[in-house]
Amino acid sequence: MKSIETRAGINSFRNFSGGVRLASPLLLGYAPAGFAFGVLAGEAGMTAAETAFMSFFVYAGSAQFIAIAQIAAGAPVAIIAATCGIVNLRYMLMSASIAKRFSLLPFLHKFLFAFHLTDETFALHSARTEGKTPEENASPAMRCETLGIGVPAHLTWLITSMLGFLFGVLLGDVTRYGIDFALAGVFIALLAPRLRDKRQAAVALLAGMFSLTFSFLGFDSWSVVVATAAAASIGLLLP
Amino acid sequence: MLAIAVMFAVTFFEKGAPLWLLGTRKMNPHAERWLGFVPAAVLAALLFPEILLREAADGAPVLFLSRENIFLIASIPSLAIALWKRSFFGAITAGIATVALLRLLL
Repeated sequence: MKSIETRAGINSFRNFSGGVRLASPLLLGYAPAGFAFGVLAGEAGMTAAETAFMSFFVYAGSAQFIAIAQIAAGAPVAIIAATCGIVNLRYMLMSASIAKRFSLLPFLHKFLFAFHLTDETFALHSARTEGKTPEENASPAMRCETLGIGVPAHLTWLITSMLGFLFGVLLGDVTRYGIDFALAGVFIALLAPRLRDKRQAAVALLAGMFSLTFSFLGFDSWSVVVATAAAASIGLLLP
Repeated sequence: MLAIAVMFAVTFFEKGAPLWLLGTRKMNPHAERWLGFVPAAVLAALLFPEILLREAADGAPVLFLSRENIFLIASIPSLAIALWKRSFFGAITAGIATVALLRLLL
């Protein structure tokens, strides 16, 4: 009995580390971004606790950068909340698109999945659960791998935010080694396999063009959501 | 702190609500097809501005099509490896290496 338990422990560890391996490029990308957030949070007059709470609980890069600027400018809470809601609306689309595949996860795992969800982890999860049944995605092995992606990504963001807050001024520019490309690289690497399907490729191209156009038109935080919704809708009309 | 708490509530709702509201329900086939396009669309919508835009002096986004756009250049080997070698890590490493190299040379 004991050896079976030990083996299950070893397998969980192996699946968890498999997730960490998949997440490693994200960690590389989150580190400089989290660091930069910490530096700016300090400059904006946030306390260490506020910086840590925001990175741990809100955990949404672009919304955090916007919020510290708003807080520094003394914006009312309602405005900060509304902006955050708009900037993060894309998560709702992501979560909806993956909901069915994770429908059989237990409550706690759904809770953690939502807590750990980012643009990049979504892209990973969407690729690795493709073609699998909800049962397969809720298997112990997949659950461990899911946590193996979510936990280190979240911790990296939290820890590097704090490092930036505490030591930011000492280290200077940390992006010079090209690691600031890591997140764009993640998007490219996960988008590429979808381009083999002509409809998906067409929708992606449209979404990209829309996103640029809406940015030019001053849609700001809305542009990603509006571009995604518009391109997916046109996708329905494709033969 | 109040602002942070409200931001958490809003963000967590957006990230989590669909998991519980849509997960086990039978969905309209059109809605399901629509959601099937979301990953590719949202990835491209995030990626294109990242590699094709820069901020002008007045803060407005402008198209950045130039030899000086290192991210755009690095996207080429990255995409090539993602498409033909089908290597997740290879694609990202190639992009990072290209950016590092170009910054070293320029």
